[in-house]
Amino acid sequence: MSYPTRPRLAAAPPRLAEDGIELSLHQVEFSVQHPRPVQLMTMLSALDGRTPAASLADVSGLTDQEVHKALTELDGGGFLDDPAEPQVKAAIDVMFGLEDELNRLFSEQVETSRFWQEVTERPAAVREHVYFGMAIENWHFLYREHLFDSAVLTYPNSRAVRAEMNHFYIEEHQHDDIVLKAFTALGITPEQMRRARPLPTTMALVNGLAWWARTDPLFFFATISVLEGGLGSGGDTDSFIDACQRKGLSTDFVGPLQAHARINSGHEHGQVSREILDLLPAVNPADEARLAGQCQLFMELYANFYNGIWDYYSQPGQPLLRVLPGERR
Amino acid sequence: MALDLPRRPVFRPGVDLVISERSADVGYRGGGCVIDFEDGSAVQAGRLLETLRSGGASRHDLVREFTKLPVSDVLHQLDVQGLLTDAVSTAPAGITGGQAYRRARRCYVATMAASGPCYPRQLSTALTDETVTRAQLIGYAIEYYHVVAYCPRVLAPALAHADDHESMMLLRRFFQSEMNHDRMLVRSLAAVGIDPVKTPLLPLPSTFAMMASLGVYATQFPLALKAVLFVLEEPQPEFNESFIANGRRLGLPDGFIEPIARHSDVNEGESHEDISRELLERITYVSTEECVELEKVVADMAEQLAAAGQEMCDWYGSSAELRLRTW
Repeated sequence: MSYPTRPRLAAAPPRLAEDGIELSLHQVEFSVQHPRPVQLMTMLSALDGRTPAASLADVSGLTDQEVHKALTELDGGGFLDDPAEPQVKAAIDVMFGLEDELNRLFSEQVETSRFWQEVTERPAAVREHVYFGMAIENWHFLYREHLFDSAVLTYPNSRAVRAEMNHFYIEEHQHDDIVLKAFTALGITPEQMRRARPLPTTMALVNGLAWWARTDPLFFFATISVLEGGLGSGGDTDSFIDACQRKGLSTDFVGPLQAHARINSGHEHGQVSREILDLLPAVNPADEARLAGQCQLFMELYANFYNGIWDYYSQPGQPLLRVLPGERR
Repeated sequence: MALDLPRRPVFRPGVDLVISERSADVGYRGGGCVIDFEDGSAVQAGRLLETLRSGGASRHDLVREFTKLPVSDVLHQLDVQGLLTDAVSTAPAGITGGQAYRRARRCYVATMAASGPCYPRQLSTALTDETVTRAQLIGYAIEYYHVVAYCPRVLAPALAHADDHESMMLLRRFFQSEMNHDRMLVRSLAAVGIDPVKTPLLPLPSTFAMMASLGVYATQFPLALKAVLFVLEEPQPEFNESFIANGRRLGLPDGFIEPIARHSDVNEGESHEDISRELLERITYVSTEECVELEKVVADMAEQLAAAGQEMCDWYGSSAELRLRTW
């Protein structure tokens, strides 16, 4: 084991006795024999967490080899501490950096997607099925939210984060049931919805998030705000609801979507990523690099969610509900 | 949760700010916005934006200084546009992974030392005293079989977690080196007429608790798994030598003793006990809370280990006949 560069003695101050040096750690006494006990005592006294290991030979009069041997044995026996302060960034600082990257990718990939361009700029010209399809895929996503949220409810590294995520999940739970009511207006029953299949682009996003939540929870935390509409989502406006209304879709369909949007708006879930990272003290440099590196992939999955909706539901003739082969719609 | 982030707002590096008397042009990455000032507060608005360019002031400072402006709303709008970040925070408290290992190891030693009075009947003592019975030795082999048979199942989830390449390779090599060790124990048990595959056996509660703990940490708390692995990999040469000697004394066949002796040699030859140190030394930062949790995990595993020593002694030592835990 490589001992600390500025070792600190974890044991109580050593005592020079007739038959050796006595060390005490957790009420257990150890006796150390050494051919040059006075010099070893001097070295032990210099293990203050400030004196470099490299200068202990000069300080004590022991040889470099003797110092090396003594430090190796002391560290192996659990007698040394490493008081070095890790050089890391605060987690919230890392999150602000990730947000910048996510904002850039969002504007490049999602805002400019065909779905959002058409829905926000030419809502009346967009086929009704695209609006219905967006609601359907959004429901499929919400219906599977437990797949990813569940994995972080146990987050063992931080009590505060665990509490916050459980609170978040309580607020998210059963949101699919709110949106489900919209499909009655389309003649689709809840049972039909539950038997239907999402688009592969929706499943890719769902399972991508579930994987990250299980294997890289920090990254999952960083994505939540994007999925919840970002910092601007707390207001009274919702681009998709606006487009539905400009299209003149029935209130029976839009109403439940609007109810869901209002609930989300009240919870300010667009800020959850910041809240979570603010509760964590720091992020390791290797983790930071990985988190930043994965933003691109996440945003591709997210953009594909909307691209998939446009590609499928804008095509005339595609059935609204995707069912298993051989199953009646 | 009411958010006050960013706490000390400052424009992101790269934000282009042009302030004139009546408005300001805030540009960023080809986008941005034009902010029109209101008549009565134009001077303050310009100064607020200048302040945000240099940073350093807290939200509270800004609200107090720019009384003519709806500072919180302005900050929110700039934030929504992605134009703000926070001043760099102070370095958080924590320790290195290497120091976390030192603390975990010390915690293990202290817990083991303290567990004696709680678990006074130990298989190791019976081995040293040569009071151990044939049933206890076979019982130990059965529990050992459970441990190595569980290993792939409980460790595999750890391989899924995101980590740096070398850490993933360390875990993968450890996983591989633990694979198929149950075959050695199956051979041992076969020599005394036990086939745990044909006749499924239940582990003792403490054996199961150790394996369940490893599995849970591997799934949900990889940092804890890294810290705790060494507890089950500590070399016990005296225990092994005594096991072999007692096995011979009690006339147990070589076919029973040898695979167990060989398995112990394999583990010690591969320095398995170094795995926690190697993994934790690669971690730059462990938070204060994480370190406490790691120490609790290690202390618990040490106590489970002590409990296992007593449980094996008690269950398999309660009668001369071997009490198989069949279902």
